[in-house]
Amino acid sequence: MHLQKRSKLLSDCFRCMSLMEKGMSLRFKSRYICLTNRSMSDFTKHRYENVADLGHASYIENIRCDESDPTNHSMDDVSLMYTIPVEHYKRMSPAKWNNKAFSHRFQRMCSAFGESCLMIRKPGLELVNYLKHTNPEKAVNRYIIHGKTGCGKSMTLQYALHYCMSNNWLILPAYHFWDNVKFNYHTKLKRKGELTVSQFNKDRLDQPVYSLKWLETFGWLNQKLLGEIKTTTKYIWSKHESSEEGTSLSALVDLGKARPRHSTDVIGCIMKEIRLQDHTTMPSVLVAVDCINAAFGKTLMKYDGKPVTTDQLSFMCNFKKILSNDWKNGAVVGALDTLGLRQSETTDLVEGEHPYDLLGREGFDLLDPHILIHVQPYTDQEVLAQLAYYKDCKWLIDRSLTAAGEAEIIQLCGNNPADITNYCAGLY
Amino acid sequence: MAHSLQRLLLVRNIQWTITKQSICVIPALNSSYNKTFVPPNPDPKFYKDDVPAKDDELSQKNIKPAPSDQTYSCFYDHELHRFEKIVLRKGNSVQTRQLIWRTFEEIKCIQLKKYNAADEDEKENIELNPLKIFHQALDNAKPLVDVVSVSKGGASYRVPVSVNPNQQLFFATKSIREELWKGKPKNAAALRLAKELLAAYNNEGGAVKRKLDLHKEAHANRAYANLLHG
Repeated sequence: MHLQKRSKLLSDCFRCMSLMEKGMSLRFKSRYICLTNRSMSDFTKHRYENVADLGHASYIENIRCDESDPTNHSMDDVSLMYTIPVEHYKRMSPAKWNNKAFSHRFQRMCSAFGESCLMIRKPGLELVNYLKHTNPEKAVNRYIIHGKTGCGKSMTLQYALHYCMSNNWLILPAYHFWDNVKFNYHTKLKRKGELTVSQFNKDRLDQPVYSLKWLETFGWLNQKLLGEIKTTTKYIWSKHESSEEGTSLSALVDLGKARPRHSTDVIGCIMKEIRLQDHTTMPSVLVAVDCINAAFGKTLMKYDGKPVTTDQLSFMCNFKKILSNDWKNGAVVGALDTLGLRQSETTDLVEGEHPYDLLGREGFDLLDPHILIHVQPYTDQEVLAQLAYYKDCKWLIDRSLTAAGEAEIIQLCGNNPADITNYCAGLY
Repeated sequence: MAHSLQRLLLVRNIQWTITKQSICVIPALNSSYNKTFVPPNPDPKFYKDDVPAKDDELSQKNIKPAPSDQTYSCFYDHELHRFEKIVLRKGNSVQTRQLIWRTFEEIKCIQLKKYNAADEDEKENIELNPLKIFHQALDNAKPLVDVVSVSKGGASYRVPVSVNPNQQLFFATKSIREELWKGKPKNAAALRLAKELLAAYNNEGGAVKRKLDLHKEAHANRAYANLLHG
């Protein structure tokens, strides 16, 4: 059967070839395609010739900025990359534990390159300019960063944090606030012992595991400043334990780490001291919160079979007091987040991605007089600057630097920063 | 080859549906395209050059239509494309794409750390392109000779036989795949694949060992090489 088919086709072949040579009719010509001077062995290999046409990104010369201090950056330095010094980077994201300041992919790339670089962009410069002109004798300003997913909201937050660290501010970090409100699904430990009744107020619940982690990051970020700040009142933890006036904050932090039962109350005392003291005894304070809209919504936790609200958690009650503008000598910066919403089904249904839809009525009332900072996707100059940086670090080689490869990257990813990093990770 | 495939299908009672748009050079069983049809080349410049000469082989052959997996992008690679279809057991293309994406990222991270820590003399020898490591690893795992059992006169002999390029590819990917299955699922699949590709690039590991065992068996039975033809 197979041979009969073959013979028919062969006879058709020879008929058409003879017709083509004579130039008889176009109907048979259109069936078969003419080819160039190639041999059979080339079909198994797709020959890619190294074209000398390089893309636009390989002709850029100015890639890096020499200054590593964000106080001296200006609008002339937009789209340049500056390196974070090694000591500061170890404080922001230590290798001991994962505190989610930076994403997992960014940390891996930094360990491969041997350096950590951030891009200078316009919303970052705007924020730092506001922070430079803070008045320590007036009430606290609130700044909210919003934008689409993957545009760089948490990176601008880290840029402002680096500015504050280099100018000796005290920092209260809260990275990935969704962990406080949901269980961490990446670890499969049983979470029965996570919530306990607090001793200060019996209507509220404690979170010993989460507050231990928080105290560790807080102590690691502000290593030297904690020894100089002293308390103003006496705190009684139990019958036999109490801390008197004049104890330093570093001693409080050590107490909280040793006694997980009192760790959430220690955090409440630290926040109370920050609100009470003036600029004479205390450096200026930055409250940096990532995913701030986790504080105004539902939780996924249960206690005694009933769902838990955010007002029942003692950590959140203390934190919301600091998000208000009752105190002086500092600033509050918060970034919104939409990716954490889609992970759960029991959170409130949000109408849209506008910042006021995400905050809700409760969040808006708390943060009412605030300043919005909009983070937009890359401009054309910034896209080429990032690809030129990847070429400098030898992350992109060979095919992706040509004109055709570059055009493909830009067309697929658009001007979205997160998409470019995810796409260029597996490219050659 | 076709005869042995038919036997396998009867034994397992599988309905083998071969699509019209298959790229492999080995002819499919019940395809509507003849054996003489040739797979297409995904380079547009290939077909736009000058008029062919009279002695050109391909000017007298027919070409199959291109499948939807083939693209004209500069990142397309024929061997990678075939590798994707064989690595996983059931061929989920979305999962394989993610796997290969992450393995190339892991390879790049490992090699860059070596590069930044090495002296200037050693920097030239370190390869940073993951595609070239992939090609070299497969080349090191491809056998030149295969062994087939032939029965003659009541006795069965092991006879050495030449290998097609597609058969070579399949053997190499299969040996890498069995190494993957030995690892623990606790570790990420991308990490395991990256380490095996780097081991094959350096002529180490289980994939290269299988090829060497095959070559030994063929060398031992080289006296029976004439049994197939004679």
